[in-house]
Amino acid sequence: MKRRRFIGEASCASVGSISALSSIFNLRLTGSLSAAEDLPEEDYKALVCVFLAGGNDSFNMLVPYGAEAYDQYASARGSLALRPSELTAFSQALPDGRQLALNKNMPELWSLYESGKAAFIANVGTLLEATTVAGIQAGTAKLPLGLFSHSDQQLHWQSGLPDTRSPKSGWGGRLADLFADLNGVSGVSMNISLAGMNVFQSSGTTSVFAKSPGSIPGLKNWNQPSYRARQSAIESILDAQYRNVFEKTFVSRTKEAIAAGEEYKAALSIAEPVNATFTQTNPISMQLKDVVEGISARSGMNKKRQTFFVLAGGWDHHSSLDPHPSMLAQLSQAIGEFQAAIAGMGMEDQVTLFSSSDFGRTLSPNGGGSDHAWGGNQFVVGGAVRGGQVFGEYPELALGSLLDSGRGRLVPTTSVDQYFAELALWMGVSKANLAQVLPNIGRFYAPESQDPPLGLMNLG
Amino acid sequence: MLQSPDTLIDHLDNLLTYGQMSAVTREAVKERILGEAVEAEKVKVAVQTIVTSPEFSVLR
Repeated sequence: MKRRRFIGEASCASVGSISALSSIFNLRLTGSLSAAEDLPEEDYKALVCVFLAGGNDSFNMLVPYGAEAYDQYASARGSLALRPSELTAFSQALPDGRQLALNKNMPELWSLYESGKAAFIANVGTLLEATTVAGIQAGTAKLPLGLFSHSDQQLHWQSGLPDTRSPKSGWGGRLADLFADLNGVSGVSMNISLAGMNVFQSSGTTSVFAKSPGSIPGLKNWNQPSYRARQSAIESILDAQYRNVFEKTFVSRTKEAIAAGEEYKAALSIAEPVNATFTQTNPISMQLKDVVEGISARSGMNKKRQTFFVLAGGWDHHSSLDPHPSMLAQLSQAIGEFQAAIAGMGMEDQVTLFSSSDFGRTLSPNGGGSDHAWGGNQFVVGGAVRGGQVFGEYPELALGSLLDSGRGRLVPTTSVDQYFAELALWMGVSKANLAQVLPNIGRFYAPESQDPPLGLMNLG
Repeated sequence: MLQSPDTLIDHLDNLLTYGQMSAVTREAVKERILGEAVEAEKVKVAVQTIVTSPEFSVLR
């Protein structure tokens, strides 16, 4: 490696970590100045991504309630429109006077919103730049690649890079790269998944620790007396030297995986047991239960920052929206149970759960269901969320509106970058480093601005 | 073949690792075969050990 390149790269790396650390130190100082008598809160934060795969029909989740707006919604959605009796209105109207409601099957999320612990982001989606229907029709607008394709949009939501169909990393992976110095020595990744490998949590240097919900991590019989002969054979094979690159990698990855599993298992065994209810028959609850356990095990794994990935599938309701209400019910129940567990640990301000989904769905029905669209509504839950509000701009739900690019596919008015920038800043990424996590943020938000990207989080 | 661990290992090397089995893997497999009292189990423990080796997973 040439000397100049080494110096260049080394100083870039150190600027990166120094800036991230400096913002952490600043936050710590702020904490101790404002709470002189109290013990400073443990400097730990976790982000929990709940990915709704398939494209949640989120205009039947967060719905207009006031007379005019509701009528417009009902007219646009036709046979898909929910009746007012299927909605639970929020007690406060939006600042512009419009009333919104939540699908009545989400009482837990409704309560969290009303108590200021949850917020919504309206009409958010993937964008390459601020986009208008006129620009689309004129053919001048630059659009995310594979705009209505599940696989592409899932990648875009997870990578924050809608100008590529083969991202090399996700924004959670890039977050982990930045925080590598803050977390202590550990074989377990900062990024833990309950739903397998995913782009969100991956990068060139960060790998995902994937485990299945309800299972004890690590090989079942490792270090058990009954397994001794087998383990000894495996260990001697893995400890040998190999020259072939693939063989070397196979062996080192296997060893890392075994060690990481053992470390996680040990960290769980010394953690405070989690005293909370999670419904066994609710697969989202079961994943979130594992998230709570992973958070409780943070000290044993030397973690100051963690991300978790949870996935719920089945939202691609082309043929019928009939299953939607009960799926929302299950989602809400799981979030309620999760938040109660976190509150029980006294960690509400340190854990933020946020939703993502491929896209929203067409306002107009296609018969019994709805098709792939674009902008949709997401929610964020946690003590650090400036809850009880809807961020972004809740759109007019009318076919042929200014935002309608056809069939009620609304052009997003807030980008995924702005949404995630709030979460990254909350995690402690400095504004100077924001573009390392979200390379396109400059198209939507000037990091040097005094204002936050959306105002979603309490950025202390 | 069960009488001679080396013959068994050669046979499995041919079937599973295309003759590429390393000395370390061979040694580990031999130890397991010799340590396994039940004859019917000898082949099983040999195969179990071979499939954890990189020579098995990496095709050259």
